[in-house]
Amino acid sequence: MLSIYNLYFLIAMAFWQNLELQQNEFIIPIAGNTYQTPSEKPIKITASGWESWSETNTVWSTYVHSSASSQVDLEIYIPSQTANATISVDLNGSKKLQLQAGQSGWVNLGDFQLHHGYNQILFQGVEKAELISA
Amino acid sequence: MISQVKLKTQPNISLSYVRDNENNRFYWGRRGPSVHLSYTFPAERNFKWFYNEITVQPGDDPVGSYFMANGFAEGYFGIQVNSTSERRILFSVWSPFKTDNPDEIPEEQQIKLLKKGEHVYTGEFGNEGSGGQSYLKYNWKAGVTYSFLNSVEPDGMGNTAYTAYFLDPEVGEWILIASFLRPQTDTWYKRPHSFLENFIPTAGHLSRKGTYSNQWAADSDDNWTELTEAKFTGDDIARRGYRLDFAGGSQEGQFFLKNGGFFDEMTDLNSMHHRPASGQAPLINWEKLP
Repeated sequence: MLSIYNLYFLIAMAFWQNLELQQNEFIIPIAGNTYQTPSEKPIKITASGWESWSETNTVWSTYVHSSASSQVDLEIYIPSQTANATISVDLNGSKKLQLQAGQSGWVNLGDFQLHHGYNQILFQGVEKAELISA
Repeated sequence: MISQVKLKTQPNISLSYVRDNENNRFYWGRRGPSVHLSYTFPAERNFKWFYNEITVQPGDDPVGSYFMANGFAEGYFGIQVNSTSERRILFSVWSPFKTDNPDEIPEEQQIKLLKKGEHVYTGEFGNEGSGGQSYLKYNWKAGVTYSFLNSVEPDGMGNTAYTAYFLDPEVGEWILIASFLRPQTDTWYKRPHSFLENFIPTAGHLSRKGTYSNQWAADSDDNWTELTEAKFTGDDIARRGYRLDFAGGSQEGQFFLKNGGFFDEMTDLNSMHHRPASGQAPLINWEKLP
């Protein structure tokens, strides 16, 4: 027989799953929404993302407009990582991410806060294997 | 390195961004939304002349900006920021033959140069339609109000002449940019409009703004009519809601256009705007126009 605690647990699980299903998922292409600063040595941004970076002062900003404030779960897609590297990702709060050579696919960075209006997602290289060994 | 970002938001949130690359929208989206003001002509009158003024404040003029003052149904006339060291006055007329390749235009549909001003380059242009292009390298300054005057006049033989003049208040005399003849065209001035665009994709995150003031139109007998109403519109990127950083309308008695830079104060597309009438028609000494 189902205990009252099990019933509460099942209801809570159903509620959580419903919330998960209600989440809106948006996939933002880097190519149409991203700018590099400083722009003196432009690195080409293609449908596959930007070409390999080498300078840690280069920042890529991806812009997205939100109809309201919202907590968001953020993932990035790595087509193919060519070297061990650490990057920082900032969307109204910064996180660092270590990437391994040969890594590919979606990488989850967890929760961030999205403001109403335009938001800037900043990507910046922190260190890279070639830079360290150079 | 990174090709896509996935955001999972709370329910009922909508996000706006450049979603796809159909028709090269990644390119157009990174340039940012182009915005226009279409001025209302009084009905049932033929106008030959259109007069407009542009002021761009310092800092509102990043490289890649085109502040187009005097648009017409067959071309446009305005000022550009081409690089950190070069600015231009640009006047172009499209060929009636629709192509992006000027080499394909048959002889009988080519734009003919009638006359041009000193140091003005003239040639053909392509990519966004094809036709006759003229430009003068001219380091116009932010903070100065420049005047634009152009005419559209049929020659009675199935062609139409288009002529553009520019006035720098620090020079004090109208200068001729160019005059072109468009074959297979019989029209007076139609669709007076202005626009603001950025033509460099890597500069779409920078904001630009221009004020457009004191619009007047004159018929072939030099009777002036003040134009005080304009419709605000945007390009495909704006209409799709892929970029929302655009604005335009009336401000402090003048029309304005603003785009790029990811600001939040958007103006509704297709909205109508008015400016107060000045009642002061431009004083043009027609005999002295070059």
